[in-house]
Amino acid sequence: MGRMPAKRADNQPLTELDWLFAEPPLLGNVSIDDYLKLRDHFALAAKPATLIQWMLLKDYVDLTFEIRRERKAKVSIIELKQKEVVLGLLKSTYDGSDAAAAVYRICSAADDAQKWASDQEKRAEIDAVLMKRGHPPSAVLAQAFIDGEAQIDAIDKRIATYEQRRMTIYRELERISDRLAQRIEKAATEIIEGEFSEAAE
Amino acid sequence: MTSERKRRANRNNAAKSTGPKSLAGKRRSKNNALRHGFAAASGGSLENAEEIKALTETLLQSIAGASIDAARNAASAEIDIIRIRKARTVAQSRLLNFLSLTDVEITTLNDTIRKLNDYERRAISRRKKAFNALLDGC
Repeated sequence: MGRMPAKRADNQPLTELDWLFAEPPLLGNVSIDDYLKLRDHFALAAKPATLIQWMLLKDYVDLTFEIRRERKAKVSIIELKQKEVVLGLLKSTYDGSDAAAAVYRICSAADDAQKWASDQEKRAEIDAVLMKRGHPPSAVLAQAFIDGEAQIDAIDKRIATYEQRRMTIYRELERISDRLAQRIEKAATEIIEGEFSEAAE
Repeated sequence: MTSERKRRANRNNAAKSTGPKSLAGKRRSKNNALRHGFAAASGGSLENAEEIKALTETLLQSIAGASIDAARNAASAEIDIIRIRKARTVAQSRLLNFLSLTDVEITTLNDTIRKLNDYERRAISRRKKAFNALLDGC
């Protein structure tokens, strides 16, 4: 290898690569500090020393972030679909008189569904009511999966892709490190052998 | 089947067409069909030429004896990867607002992300080859 790049603390990137981490691919509501914290965490473990190793480490961090982002999106979709299912069930299974059912549908069902999503106590109450009507939480969840199938499937495929890609990057990092190690060993051997042949002469 | 008369008329009309005449115009129009340049073999976008050049120089400075071509290919692939991820983040942020999207818009955004993932895979593969060439060359 050529000259050693400028180095900082073990988990801080080379100064030449400051720009690489300046604008990570983050959504608007995600703090860059979270990203840098994850990067530093991986950097501390992997101890990248060369530009190539840092570039690969950045990939690893980016893909880890992608996976987290997709998982969060999947949870949001499932929660939203569950809320929709609950709302539908609250409206369709209300067992009061026709007039009361109509009032409930118009005035309270949406509020109750919202409370189901945001208030644990209310959720338990509504779950119990729906259970009595023959719709246990597992059925609600199953229906949510069915309703959001296309989106959930797309997210699952993307998560699988990113995980596979991250594994490829990990192997690449390992391979590059091995090659660097081999080259350092070869260079050391050459120096040592050179010294011995000079001494023999 | 196109008739001979029609074909001749098309050829005559095409010969009369006025394309760009100046070198600068020709250079500009060359990129008329360029959308994002991710599908290009390497360095598809001219707007990133400076970044590619800077990273190429950084690689050459830090890896003694590295080939210029390999460094340029690695830099170009790296810049593509960064651009692809930014584009994917934009698509994802739109997708996260799925409540305000129609099913067609959601499908289109999912397709866009899938395509960007394909471009990313290719760029990673290009960079891997370039890294190998960089390490073999010194």
